Amino acid sequence: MATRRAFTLAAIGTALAAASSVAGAALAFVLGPLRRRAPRESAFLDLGPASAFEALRAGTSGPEEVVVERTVEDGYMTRRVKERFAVVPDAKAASGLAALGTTCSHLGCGVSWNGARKAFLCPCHGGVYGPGGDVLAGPPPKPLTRLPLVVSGGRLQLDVAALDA
Amino acid sequence: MKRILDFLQSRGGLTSLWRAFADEPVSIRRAWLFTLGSAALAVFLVQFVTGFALALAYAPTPDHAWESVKAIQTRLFAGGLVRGLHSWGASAMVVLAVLHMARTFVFGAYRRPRELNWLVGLALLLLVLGFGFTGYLLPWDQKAYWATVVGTKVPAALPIAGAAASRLMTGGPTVGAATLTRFYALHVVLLPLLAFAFIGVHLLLLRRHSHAGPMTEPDPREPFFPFQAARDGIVILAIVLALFWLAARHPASLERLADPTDTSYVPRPEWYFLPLFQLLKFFKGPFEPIGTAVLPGVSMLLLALVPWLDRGASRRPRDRRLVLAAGGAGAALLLGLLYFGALDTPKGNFSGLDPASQPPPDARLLGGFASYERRGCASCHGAEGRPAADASPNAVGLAARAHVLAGDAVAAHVKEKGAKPAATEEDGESPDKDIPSLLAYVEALGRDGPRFSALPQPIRVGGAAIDREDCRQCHQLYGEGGRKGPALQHLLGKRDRDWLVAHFKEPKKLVPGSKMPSFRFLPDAELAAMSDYLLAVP
Repeated sequence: MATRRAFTLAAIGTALAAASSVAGAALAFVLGPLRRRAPRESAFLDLGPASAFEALRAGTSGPEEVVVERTVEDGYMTRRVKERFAVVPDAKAASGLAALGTTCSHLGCGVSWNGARKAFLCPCHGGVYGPGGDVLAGPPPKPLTRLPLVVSGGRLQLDVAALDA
Repeated sequence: MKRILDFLQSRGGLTSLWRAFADEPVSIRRAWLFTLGSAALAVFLVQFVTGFALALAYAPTPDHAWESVKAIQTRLFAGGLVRGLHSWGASAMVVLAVLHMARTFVFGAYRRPRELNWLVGLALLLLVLGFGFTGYLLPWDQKAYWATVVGTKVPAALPIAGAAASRLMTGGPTVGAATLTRFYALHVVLLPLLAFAFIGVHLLLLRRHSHAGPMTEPDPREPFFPFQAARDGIVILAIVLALFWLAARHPASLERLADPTDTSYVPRPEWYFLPLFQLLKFFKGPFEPIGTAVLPGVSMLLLALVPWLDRGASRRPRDRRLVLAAGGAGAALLLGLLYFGALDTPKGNFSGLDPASQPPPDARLLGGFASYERRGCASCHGAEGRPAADASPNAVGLAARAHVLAGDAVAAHVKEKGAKPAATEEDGESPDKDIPSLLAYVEALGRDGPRFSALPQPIRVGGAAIDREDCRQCHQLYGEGGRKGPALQHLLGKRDRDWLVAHFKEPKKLVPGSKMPSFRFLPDAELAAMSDYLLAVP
């Protein structure tokens, strides 16, 4: 039926189809980062000889900060990034040690160990974590991330697979 | 001339367009208060022009952003001036937009039939904040990085789409290359287009309903041109002069290159986000979204609804007591949050110094360590001289030491292979003047394999700066150096960090007759780190 109304609708429909297909393609590109990537296989980073952490395991010294470097996919490039962890004693782990992420669970600032207060302090909004990474005070909703540490061939190794999840 | 004007009029109607613009009747009373909108528009244009200029030399990648901004700031002709104008212009933009809005609010100028224009103005205010948020990531310095880490995490705790929104902002799991390109595209393409469109609508609506005028009768009017145009011009000129003065006198800051592992850095956002930042401290755990979304969202909604909440006939203040009181309370709350946020910006505690810890290493070694990292030595020789994770540092260090004993051989090797970023090439100084410190550091690697990467950031940075600026030329440090100035020891207790920073900037002001040169050209953060280092020296 070639009515005036049908003609108008067809004109509008054509314009919308053209506009939305282009906008859809651009939008898909913008929303790309939402697609979940398959978790990476387990990757172990070396933290040095396990014997170096003996005092820590025995509880005679405070958490030890380690900086590891790894490759991450970052947008259009792969980059080497440095990340800081705190190695702490962990009675449950076979290695007797665990690594805590130093990223505050509140808004992502970096926490650091304060020897005098025996706690990890966040400089942004006043979050306080205990030696095991549990929240003692302030706004953080969750404990610090805890990553498994294994001893292999006398070397202490950090499993970073959990980081990319 | 007349023929040209006639042509423009007959082909484009431009003369009558100008007349319609120039003859628009505007109020004579309170006329100076009606210059705020024009001033905001003028500063927006300042931002557009200076922003375009900066975009010519800026590279939005993590590898080059900081370096390109550093080059703009220090080496490119008039770069520091243009960047200063842009940086101060951003603050002026926020101030003027808020003042313009406050004036509209107090005058009740949002009343019918101008509700829509109030909403457009509110959208423009949000755009201004969006410009600020996307803009200060671009230099990729510590402040940029950490403020963005916090800013992009804010939506993450929100229910339903929060995590997705956060991920869309960063473009990946963490703030990085994808975040930088996203923010850059928003800052230079999308936001300016939206801003121009909204400004156009804002002006069209203004012309459609004319402006509301003062709160009470009488409201005598005269054409916009020439007198109101002249008032606008005077205010704009004053603001532009102020921007030039600020840009010349207080250059835009550029902190250290972004360092995600630096946990001693205390992130603070740009001042106009401090109220929000402060708000986040009050809501814990599951209540966090109240501070991040509910309160800001409700305030924005209330602001948007103002024209419908206040709809009486009179615009006199005494007939609108409730509305004005609510507005005043809101403004007081905002200023209070800003004040306490600013107060809480730490001065003395951010060094992460543990008084029980060891004295800081010699500045020369820290300078060498900084240059080891900056020149990319680690890419072959490994971080802190450990090429592979299982290599013993001493073995590597000893090998390096053997080279050091050969003296010039290492220097030649460094000159050939080492990176020489812009940071070392300014002020006509030799780009290789760091080599002696580098050699000292490498030799120390052979002796006792020091581990500096775990030191608090201010100690590392401050020590390196003290070495780089050659403080030892005049001062003794650890018993070594010149004797023109006092020895750098036992400062803790005698001086505090604020004093030292002020002294670095203007030595003669604090110590009359002092011969020490001013170090005002260094960033505040670096001066603070140098002070921290000196205070830690026993």
